[in-house]
Amino acid sequence: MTYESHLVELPEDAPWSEKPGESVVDQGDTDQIPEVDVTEQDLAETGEDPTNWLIMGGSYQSQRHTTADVITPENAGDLEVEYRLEVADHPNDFQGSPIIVDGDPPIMYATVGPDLLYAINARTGDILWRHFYRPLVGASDATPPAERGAAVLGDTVYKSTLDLGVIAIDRYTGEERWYYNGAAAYRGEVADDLMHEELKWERSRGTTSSFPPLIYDGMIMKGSFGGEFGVSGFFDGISLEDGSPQWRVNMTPEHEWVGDSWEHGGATAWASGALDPDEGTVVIPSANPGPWYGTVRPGWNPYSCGKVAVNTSDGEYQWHHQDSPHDWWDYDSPSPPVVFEAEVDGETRKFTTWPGKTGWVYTVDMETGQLHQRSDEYVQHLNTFNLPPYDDLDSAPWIMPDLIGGTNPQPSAYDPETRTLVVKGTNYPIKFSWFETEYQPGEIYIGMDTVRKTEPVQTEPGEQREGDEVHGDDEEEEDQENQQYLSEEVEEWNENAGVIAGIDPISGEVKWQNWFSWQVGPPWGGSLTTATGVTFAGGPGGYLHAFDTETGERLAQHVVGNHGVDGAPASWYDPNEGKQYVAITGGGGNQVEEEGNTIAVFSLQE
Amino acid sequence: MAYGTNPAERYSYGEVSDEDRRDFLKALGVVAGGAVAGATLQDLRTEVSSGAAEGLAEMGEAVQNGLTGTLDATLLSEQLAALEGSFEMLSQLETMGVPEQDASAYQELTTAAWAINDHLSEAGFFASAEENLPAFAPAHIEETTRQLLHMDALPATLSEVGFSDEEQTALVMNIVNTREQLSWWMKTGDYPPADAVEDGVVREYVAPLHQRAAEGSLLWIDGLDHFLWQREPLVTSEMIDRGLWDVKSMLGGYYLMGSAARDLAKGDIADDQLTTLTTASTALMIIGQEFLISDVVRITDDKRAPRNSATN
Repeated sequence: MTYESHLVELPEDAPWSEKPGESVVDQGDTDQIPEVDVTEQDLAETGEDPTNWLIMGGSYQSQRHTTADVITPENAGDLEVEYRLEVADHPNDFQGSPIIVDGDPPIMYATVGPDLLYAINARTGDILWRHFYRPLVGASDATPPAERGAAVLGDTVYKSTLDLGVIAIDRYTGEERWYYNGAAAYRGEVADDLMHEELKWERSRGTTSSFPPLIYDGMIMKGSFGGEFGVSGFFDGISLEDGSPQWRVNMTPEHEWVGDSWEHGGATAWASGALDPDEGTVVIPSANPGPWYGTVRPGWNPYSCGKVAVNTSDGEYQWHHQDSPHDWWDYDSPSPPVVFEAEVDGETRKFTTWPGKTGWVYTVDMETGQLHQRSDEYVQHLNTFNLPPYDDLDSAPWIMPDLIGGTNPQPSAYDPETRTLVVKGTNYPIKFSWFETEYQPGEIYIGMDTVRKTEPVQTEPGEQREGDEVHGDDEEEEDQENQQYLSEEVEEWNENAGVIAGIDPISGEVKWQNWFSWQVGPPWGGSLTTATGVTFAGGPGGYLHAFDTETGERLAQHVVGNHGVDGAPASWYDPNEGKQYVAITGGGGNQVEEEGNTIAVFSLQE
Repeated sequence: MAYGTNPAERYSYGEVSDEDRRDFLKALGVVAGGAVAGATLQDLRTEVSSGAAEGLAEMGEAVQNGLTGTLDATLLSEQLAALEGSFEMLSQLETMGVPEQDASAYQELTTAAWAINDHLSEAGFFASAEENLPAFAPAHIEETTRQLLHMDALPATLSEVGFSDEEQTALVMNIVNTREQLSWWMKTGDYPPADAVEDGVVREYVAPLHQRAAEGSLLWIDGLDHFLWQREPLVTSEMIDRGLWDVKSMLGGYYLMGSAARDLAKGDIADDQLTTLTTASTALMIIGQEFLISDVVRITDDKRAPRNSATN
């Protein structure tokens, strides 16, 4: 099997630098932003530098680990609220982290759906400017796509846009510098106008490529989304100098798919990658294959549902790993990988590790791509990989994990001291059945029946999970149809909606699990570890939780807001204040009903 | 794996149990009693009537008439001879176990099959087969299986590539006993279209049914060197053994399809037999890949090799 020929032609005559949408910039007191030149060296060292958080994942390696040491297991309950900031016009769905550029004051850059970027005084919460990019194709106001962060270098801050572009913005003023139009060409075909026809649809909640682009060695890298719209995934390397495309990886390498099925094959690269800066390798998460009917796309369907490692300089293939080859269950692999070093058999080796929607943690040799370990389960498995029967929900077994996971786009955190990967997982049973529909032209039907179980059978009035009793008409009708199944007991289910777990990625041992009951729903968003042994993670009940990283002991919880906390924490030390800060974005409309739009910042004086 | 009729319980890895045989005969309308293990195709033939072949003949003629190119008997003969060598390599793969990094032993099994595949595709064979043959409805499976049992040449052809009597029986039984899953593989035009069904199918990107079966098999086999090496911590000898039977089944299917095409090129095959062999070989390739996925690729905790928690 050869994967070398996976690069897509980049037509020179495509409108790569033309912006399809419009920008609106609101400026406040921009003079508060101190002049700090963020260098690539700063990016490389941000994981070790306690005073900043320059990359959404905390470092190139995406370990989400801070060396700031004011907060310890002993004082994690003493954090104070610095401010809670409400941003955007509507409750939202955060799934990433703000970034923090050190200075006096430190400046926070945070993104909010749809396509809003804020510059904020991280010390006071003052909004200094706001850049609103309105994409050419509609972004749903009702369900704005989740936002996951920005990237920074020099005097520029970068954001992925909903129409598959990257916008470079003056980080002092909020004004545009350049735009990269990722929709200028598709499958080597130049767009008729500014966006290729097959890349236009309404952007809504879910798997948008709103993860921040990755910056490394003069290159900025960005993925794609739209697998549910039949898009064949791609991942771009763009020159930082002028925003021109350098290479594009075809995430569905055509010679490994039957006939032309690759052209509709999904495997989009909507989630955030990690980098091994020593080797110049980027590890890209990949989404599920399309369409859902596996029998039209026989074979492994590379690179869907896994990770693919490529050279940052030229996009050339290094290795790939599929969590779920030839997938039927939506077990894509969006959780960002973590790159780390560990000693094995007396030898220091480099690995990358991630939790899958499949409910296991995979640890892969960074050089070769060979699996070193698959962990024990951290969520429940039940009839896993059973195929959905054809037009027959009666015969369909309850399956776990469900189509949400396992772990979805939630970024994990790693603690090198205790060799602990902190992961979040969802733990619901589901029934699938695929069916041939009696369709009418112009009407849309779902080609797959799914019944998700989020409550046990025996619930008392008032005991329902918050939000589950609130329905639109369609949901109510569907509920009635599915009531017979929802009243089935799933004896094997432990009736917990999700978990935060600590796992040794080398041994595969699940060290600890903190479960969240079905009443509150699953934890979403990401986590953070500190050098002092504390893990921070948001939860579904509106809290920022603190755990002991080694044991999982619950140390404290702090109120973010009266909604889910789907963001991922970031932390920094401000030497001028003598404080360590923890920021987390609180949205949460994905798995719990209560949405929000809070950026909460806590601190502890040394 | 679970479906309405759970073919996983009826799939045979080259050995035929009494229950397999009873299920098979029952599906063909024969109520069998007593101990019947070790049955040969010849034994089964005596119990199963051949049925009417007129419809199959018409279809076969249409497949032939639908070709857009000329089949090259010499090319096909040469590649079939090369493909025979692949069957001889299977025992070496069993001995090899988990492949080394960058190994190509599994890929080497398919070299000749890919050459046949490209030729059949260029001649419009797959497109014509999809156009003129029904999909895997139970009636069509039953009818073609009856014909298959009564083809004199079948045991000889399968023997050429190393299928024992019992393995031959297992192949044919698997077609019938896993028929539900076969029915999931539809003709391209039968899938719900993307413009009407969310997550539906854009038909223009979907290859003909018989091509999907054939190329899918080859892609799965080609990927095993990498997959087994990559998943070494999870792989067991049972997975490799079962996988090798699945691979052998797929290659057997490919050999039957190639043989039918060669005979067609020579003008040496009856129309009904062309239908029967095209249908049966496609079924074998579908079944083989579906069970390979189940046996080797989708590794649940109960299947995996025990976790080695060795640390520093």
